[in-house]
Amino acid sequence: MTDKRIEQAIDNNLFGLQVTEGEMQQIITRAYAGERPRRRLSLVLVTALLIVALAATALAVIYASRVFVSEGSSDMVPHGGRLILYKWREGLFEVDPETGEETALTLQDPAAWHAIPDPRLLTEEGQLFVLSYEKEALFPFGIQEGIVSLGSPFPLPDLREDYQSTAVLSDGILAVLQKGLLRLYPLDGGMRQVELPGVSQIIPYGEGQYAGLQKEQVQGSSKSRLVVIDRDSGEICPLADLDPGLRVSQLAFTPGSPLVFEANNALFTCDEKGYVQQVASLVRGDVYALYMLDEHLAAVASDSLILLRSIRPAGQQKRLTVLDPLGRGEDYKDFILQHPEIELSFPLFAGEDTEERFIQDMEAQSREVDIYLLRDRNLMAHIQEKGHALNLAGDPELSAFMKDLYPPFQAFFRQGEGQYGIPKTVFLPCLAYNQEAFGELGFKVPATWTDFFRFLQTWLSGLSDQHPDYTLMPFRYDNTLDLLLAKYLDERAANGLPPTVNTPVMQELLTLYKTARALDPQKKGQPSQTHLLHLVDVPYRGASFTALPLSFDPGSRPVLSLPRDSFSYFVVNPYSDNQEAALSFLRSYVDNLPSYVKILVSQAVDAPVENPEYEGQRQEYESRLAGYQEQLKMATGEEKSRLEEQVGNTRRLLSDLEFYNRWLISPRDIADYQQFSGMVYLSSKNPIPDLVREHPEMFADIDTNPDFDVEGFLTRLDEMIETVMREQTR
Amino acid sequence: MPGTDPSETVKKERFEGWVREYSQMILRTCFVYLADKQAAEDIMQDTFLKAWKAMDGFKEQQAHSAKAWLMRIAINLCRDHHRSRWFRHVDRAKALEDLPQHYLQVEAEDRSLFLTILALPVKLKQVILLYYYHRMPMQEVAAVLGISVSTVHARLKKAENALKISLTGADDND
Repeated sequence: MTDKRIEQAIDNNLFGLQVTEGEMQQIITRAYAGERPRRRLSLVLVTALLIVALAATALAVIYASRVFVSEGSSDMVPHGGRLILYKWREGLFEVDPETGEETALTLQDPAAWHAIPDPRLLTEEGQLFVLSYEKEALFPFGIQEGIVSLGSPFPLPDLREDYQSTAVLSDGILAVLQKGLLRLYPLDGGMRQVELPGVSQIIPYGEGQYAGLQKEQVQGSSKSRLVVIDRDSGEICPLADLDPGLRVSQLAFTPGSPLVFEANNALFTCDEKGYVQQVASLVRGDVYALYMLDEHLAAVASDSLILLRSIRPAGQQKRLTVLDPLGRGEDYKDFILQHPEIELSFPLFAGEDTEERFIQDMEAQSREVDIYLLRDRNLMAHIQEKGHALNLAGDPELSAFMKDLYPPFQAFFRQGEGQYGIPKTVFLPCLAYNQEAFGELGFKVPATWTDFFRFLQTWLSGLSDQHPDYTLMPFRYDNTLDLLLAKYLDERAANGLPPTVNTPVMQELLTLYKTARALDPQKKGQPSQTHLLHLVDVPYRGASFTALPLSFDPGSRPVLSLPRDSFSYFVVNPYSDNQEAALSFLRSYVDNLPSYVKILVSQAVDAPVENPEYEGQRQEYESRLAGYQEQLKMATGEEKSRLEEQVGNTRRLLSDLEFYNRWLISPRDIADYQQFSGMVYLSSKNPIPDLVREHPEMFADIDTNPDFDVEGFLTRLDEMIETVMREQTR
Repeated sequence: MPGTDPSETVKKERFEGWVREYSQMILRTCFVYLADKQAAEDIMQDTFLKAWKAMDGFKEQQAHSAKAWLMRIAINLCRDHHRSRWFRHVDRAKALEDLPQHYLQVEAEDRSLFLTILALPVKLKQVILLYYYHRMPMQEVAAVLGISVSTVHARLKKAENALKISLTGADDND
């Protein structure tokens, strides 16, 4: 392990995490003005909260299961029929589980509360507590008419912080479990310890008992089981062995209910005989709190969602299964909020990608998954040919959405009168250059990929040494061999040329590529160096770089290709039993399409969209500015200078607000994208990605083999492309 | 002059230099610590806000360097934030997906090593970040974290071993 490897791994993975010049100016302005950063509330969230207020009340009586949105909470406990939430930096909130209405609570002594680092909420029989590991204390607190008052702390000697600890309160005893050691603190004083080997979680489970999760290694593999623990003796009795694939994150219990636990995005129950069954689905997310509100209703806090789920079989709901391996519940909160009657389920499939699973399911006509999120564009031709996706053209809303899409997207999803999917993720990456730096240094801006590699070769051959204040990362701009070849075929197709790569243009390009590869010193740029090139998403909002779409052939128009990770799309299983629910899901998705996707795909986006938070923030700054200006009229000396500075700072804040935060889709975005929309090319028949997957060594050879034969490689590749295309046609 | 209050203009020039020089490094450090882009951005901004407010108290000769001082503020803020959500299971791969230009080609080994670093226990992650990423000497790492040099050394060994086991299966302690 070398320090360089670690540094390189961090920098390469976080290459996209940059602080722009404008952002630096914002930091400086905010610091001078004493402003804390603000989390932005998206348009989607505003809509979602509105829907909660309207829909949840109406449906509460009919459906036990409900979902609410609460941004930023990090702990939750039930109290007096309500839920108490803790939000970092903000304080405590109370949520009505019937309506989802959230009310901020007032801290009687904010300084005392904020002096408690790492507050963890606990509850026992109507009494609320906050536990602090750092203060080694448990503070009782009460809530009366919306005001929170903090009581005197119980000292907890030897309470050590550990990221794996669990703390629960029952029978007047605080139990803290840390790495198999249980510390018991009776609230009237004292402390004793009990060894609980392998136990990682506990929950009060009747008088004098805890239910827990115990893990042990059996023949090299980890096995988990639910156990019952006697508090006095520490005796552990097995309750149920769990399937090896279940990853339990939270336990819950209330008298009259079975033991409930969350695992693999679902709720399970375990009765006294150890019978385990799944009772409800949860959306994917980080579950950080689980409580039983009564014998049959569980409250789950997961990411920004609070889900109430019935654990009674009679309360179980219609389930829609979406295979989106990285998706989280909050990505789909609009649908979840609009359709509380449908449980959204994200299954876990190990050892296969979504595409493989999709193909297997279609061959077996499986009904298990209702909606697939796919990335492989070459699948679309097969889907359309074999009817492996529901035709969405019959749905008026989805059909209208399709009619608004830019032609390349329409062409991709349509076949004849059929329409077989909708886009989910779309990014348009494009090489960009630093216009100011190129101007200052007198460099010629490349017009083709051949020009680009000529410049790269010159830079690597010594030009970089003449300009130590500037840097570039030779092969970090979507310009590796596989991506270049895929782009080349896209450009040829878009320009009406046959799918061949063995051309004089590509022969020259690969010769330059090979030389540049050999010269690439893997030198890391220093933070103080200015980047000459970058990869940006168009439309690009920054000021430092200018997008530079390059063509291969000087006579061809350039295209913007979408690499595999930049595009994904939903298709509905044609064998699904939940097709109507699946269509509702897609309708909800297109209704709430994120603005950065909408501008790229929809021709209907012809007007800017303002951030709903902008006006309120602008008024606040304007009012502050007016106040300073008023005071300035009477001020003299140092006070006058201070106020003049505040006026300057507030004006800068206003200017930053206008530039960075005013628009979800800005007028400039729309104008910029007009240049690029005609360049988008979305192929459903590009053989390069499949060939790279099947023959990785063939494409890697150019990087290491000094005798690499460019023409031989391109000839062989053309033969392979021809074979693939012939098979596709057949 | 070290140890005395610089004039307002000098103070501002110095502060703005810090923002330009260190903001990106602090942002990336916070991201590695928290695996949350939004939180990392907030904390990077908070770091400079705190630094500006406390600049008069900054004494170069006591705090080794401005970088170490800023890192100490950032690490403390990350720790506070992390504590408030310490029980969450962060989906690190998903956090990477949230980054702009996440489609940038990254070697599989680099990705694997990076995800392993993200998954290290916080105490080990801190020393890896400061020693290897920020290239701070051990004394400075110790000053930033408020621990002894021997503890830094021990944690580094542990962290290196954890990375080695995760990546190659080999354990130096075997």
